[in-house]
Amino acid sequence: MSNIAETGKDWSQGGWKKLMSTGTRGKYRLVERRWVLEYIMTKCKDAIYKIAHKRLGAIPPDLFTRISGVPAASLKVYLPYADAVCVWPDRIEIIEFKVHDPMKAISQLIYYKALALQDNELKQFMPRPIVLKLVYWRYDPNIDAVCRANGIVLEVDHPPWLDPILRDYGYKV
Amino acid sequence: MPVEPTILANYVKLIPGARKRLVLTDPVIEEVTIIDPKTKKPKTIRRLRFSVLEEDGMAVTKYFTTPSEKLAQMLMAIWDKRSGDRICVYITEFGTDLAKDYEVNPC
Repeated sequence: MSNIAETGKDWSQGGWKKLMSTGTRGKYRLVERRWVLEYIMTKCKDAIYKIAHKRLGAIPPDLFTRISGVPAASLKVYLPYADAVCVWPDRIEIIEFKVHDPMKAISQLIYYKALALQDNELKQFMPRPIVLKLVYWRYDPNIDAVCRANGIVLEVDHPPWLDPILRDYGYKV
Repeated sequence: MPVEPTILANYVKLIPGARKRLVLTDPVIEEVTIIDPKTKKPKTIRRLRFSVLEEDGMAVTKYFTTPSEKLAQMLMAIWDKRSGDRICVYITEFGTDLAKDYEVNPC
């Protein structure tokens, strides 16, 4: 019985051999994480407190009983995270970045606001008002209208390195 | 049983789950031959190397190297937007092997 690797038979569109041969894997590309870090380094540079990928909220008490023998810090992985949190003298900004599907960020940000109010690390900065911010790479009036209706600020940030990535995804830029 | 170098070491070692504060400068990409931990065969890899000026608030003369493309890209994103000749970052390593991931934050 011959196997696929020996016969070199096309297995799917690219073929088994192509899949297994060296050098076919594309370079690992950071998109959102790079965008978030660059944003923090430039626009939140002078913030009192700034953090990327901030886990928000308190660990649900039932997790301690369901998963025993694990340090509390490790259980934080079950908490959702905001892409960035920047604390300014007059406000706390919770920021979500989207390359695709910015509508998802609306519900995420509303959820994060509720979690931020229970967050132990952010307690020290209360009672500053919480500002929700959606960062998207182009202006869309419909998204802006939904954001305004939900008290979210839409910010357009389009780093030049994003263009080839957007083209790869099929966007016309 | 191998003894962990704790006193004399000229490189920074990340401990999974523990956040480390590093002040880094002079990034270079170097090519080195290592013994692959899985196949036990030598292989040449490219890795990013920084000189470390401070480790957890203490002035040191060490190196920080990473073969991880993911971590290297995060550090270089911060390096590209720096204002001086150095960057200050918090790095936390999570997980092991293929599930290994890093959390990087500017100080």
